Amino acid sequence: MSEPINANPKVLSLDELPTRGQAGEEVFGDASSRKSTFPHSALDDAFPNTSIYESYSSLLVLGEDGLSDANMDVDVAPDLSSGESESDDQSDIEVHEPIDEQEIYDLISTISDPEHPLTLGQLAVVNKPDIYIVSSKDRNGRHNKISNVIVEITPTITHCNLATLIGLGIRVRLERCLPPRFRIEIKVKKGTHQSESQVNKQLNDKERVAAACENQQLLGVLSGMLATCK
Amino acid sequence: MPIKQIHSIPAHVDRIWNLAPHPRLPLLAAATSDKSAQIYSLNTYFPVAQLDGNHKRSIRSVSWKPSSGLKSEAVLATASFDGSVGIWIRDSDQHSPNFGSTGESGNVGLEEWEFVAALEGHENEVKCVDWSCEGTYLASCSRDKSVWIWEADEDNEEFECLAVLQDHTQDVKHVAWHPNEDLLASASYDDTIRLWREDDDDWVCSGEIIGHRSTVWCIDFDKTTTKGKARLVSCSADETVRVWSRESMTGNTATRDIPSTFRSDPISENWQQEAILPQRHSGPIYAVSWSGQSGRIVSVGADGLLVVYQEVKTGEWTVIAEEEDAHSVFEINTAVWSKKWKSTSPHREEGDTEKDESKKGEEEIIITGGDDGNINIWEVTFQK
Repeated sequence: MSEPINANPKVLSLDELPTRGQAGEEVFGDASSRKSTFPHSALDDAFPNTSIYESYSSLLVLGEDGLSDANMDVDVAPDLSSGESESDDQSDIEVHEPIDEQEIYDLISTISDPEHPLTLGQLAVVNKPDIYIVSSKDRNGRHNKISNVIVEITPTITHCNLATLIGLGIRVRLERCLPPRFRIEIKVKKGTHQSESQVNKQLNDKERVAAACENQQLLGVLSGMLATCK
Repeated sequence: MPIKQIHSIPAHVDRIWNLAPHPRLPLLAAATSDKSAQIYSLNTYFPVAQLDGNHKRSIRSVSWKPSSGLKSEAVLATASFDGSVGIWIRDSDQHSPNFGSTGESGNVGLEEWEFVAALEGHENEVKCVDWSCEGTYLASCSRDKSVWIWEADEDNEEFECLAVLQDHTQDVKHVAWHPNEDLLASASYDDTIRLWREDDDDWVCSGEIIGHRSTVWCIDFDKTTTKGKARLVSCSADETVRVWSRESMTGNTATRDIPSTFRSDPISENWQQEAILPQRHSGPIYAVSWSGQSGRIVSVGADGLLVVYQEVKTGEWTVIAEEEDAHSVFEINTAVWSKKWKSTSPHREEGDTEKDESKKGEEEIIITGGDDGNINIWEVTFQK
């Protein structure tokens, strides 16, 4: 890559990026809109084994009154142990780990951009409000075991031909880190890329992704991008 | 739900991409992401052979040559992401007459299979292979957007490429031959299905099926109607399963003696959508199979759901069985109907050939393979 495709991208400083610490203010701010669009977005946290830490942030997302919910941490803990016995039907599959949008963000925002010495978080290619976790219920009202993680990426420029590579990097990172019950969907955020539908189709074609991951040259590039992940 | 899992084979690989039961022998071939193909006995569900060391990348698809000559002949084609097609033959000297029972002791005594030919030509990943009904032709398709038709010599060692068909505008995901005509169908990432026939020594595109709104992952012909309308089923990333039927044909076999240059009607066929099957899946549907025995259709996909459909009357289908999380939380890549070789009923003796007509459906099984590396065997049970 001799000529960068976008030589002067907008860069966020590290302290502008969302972290777990500031989740309170930030998540609380958009909780109402998130709730209406994706009513089940944080329901994974309701599964057993939830740490107090994670239930804190999930309560903020779900709760009408964030502050008082936050004070209920202590009350949540006993429920968790009893919850485990109630979910025998799921324990044979795997213990559900609480995974929220911040955790997904933390997994992928530290991926390096293929052409800049910056992370996808710093370049605002990956943004926390564009990460959705959707779980659905079956006809009996039980949670499906399968949840969807949707990540919408914002390429730095609309003709960025590295969008597919960036999307692939995110997919590979999530496939390696998330338990198999997650279905990962990577999309270009609407209106941010000139060949949006082609990129989306390619990124979500299982066979193409699998074949790409057997290409040593491409794997080399990907592992370079993922080397900055913690 | 009148469907039950009767067995699960842990194949211990990352991903089962494709499964193919032999049309006449109790053998099951599995294409896996660990660059090998495995052969299992459908009598014992034990491994019979491991076909490895030749493909450099994942094996995506497997297909058995319909056997005609030697009774023991077993010829398998494998399609790989390494861009080649492999041909494997069971060494006929070593097999015992009741070879289906070999492998009783697990991995001990696996058969030796010979890798006899590598078919090179595709520019990149080969995604599917299929032998024609009489084993005359082998079709392969690839991400290079082409479909190749090969012809084998008697020993299955020399293959000649008869045609390279390049009408699709994107990767070709699947190819399937008609059960008794030399008619080939191909499904593509370009959302279409195309049909191909031989016309005066040239293979031509004789029809195009447009209707799916996303990648068509898999197709299978109706094997129950040998007369009348040809039909095929397709499944897609658009979350639908559709049945198509051939409404008319021109330039068909009757006029085949006349060279195409003197014929007024070019070879073509008109296919129309007959039905969209009841929609159950959420997410891409990766495989469909049309039973030659019961006429039922099975579909599986990314949502882990296994759905069995039955035709109530022409063009009208109903769901008769449904199984959620058929491979626990994993995606299911392949499903295929097979004759039931192993009896699960204690009252019926092995080799009892008398078939109770009302139990016809119980003589067949569904075999599925998923990202969990398991091969699951299912039976649709009757509800009265």
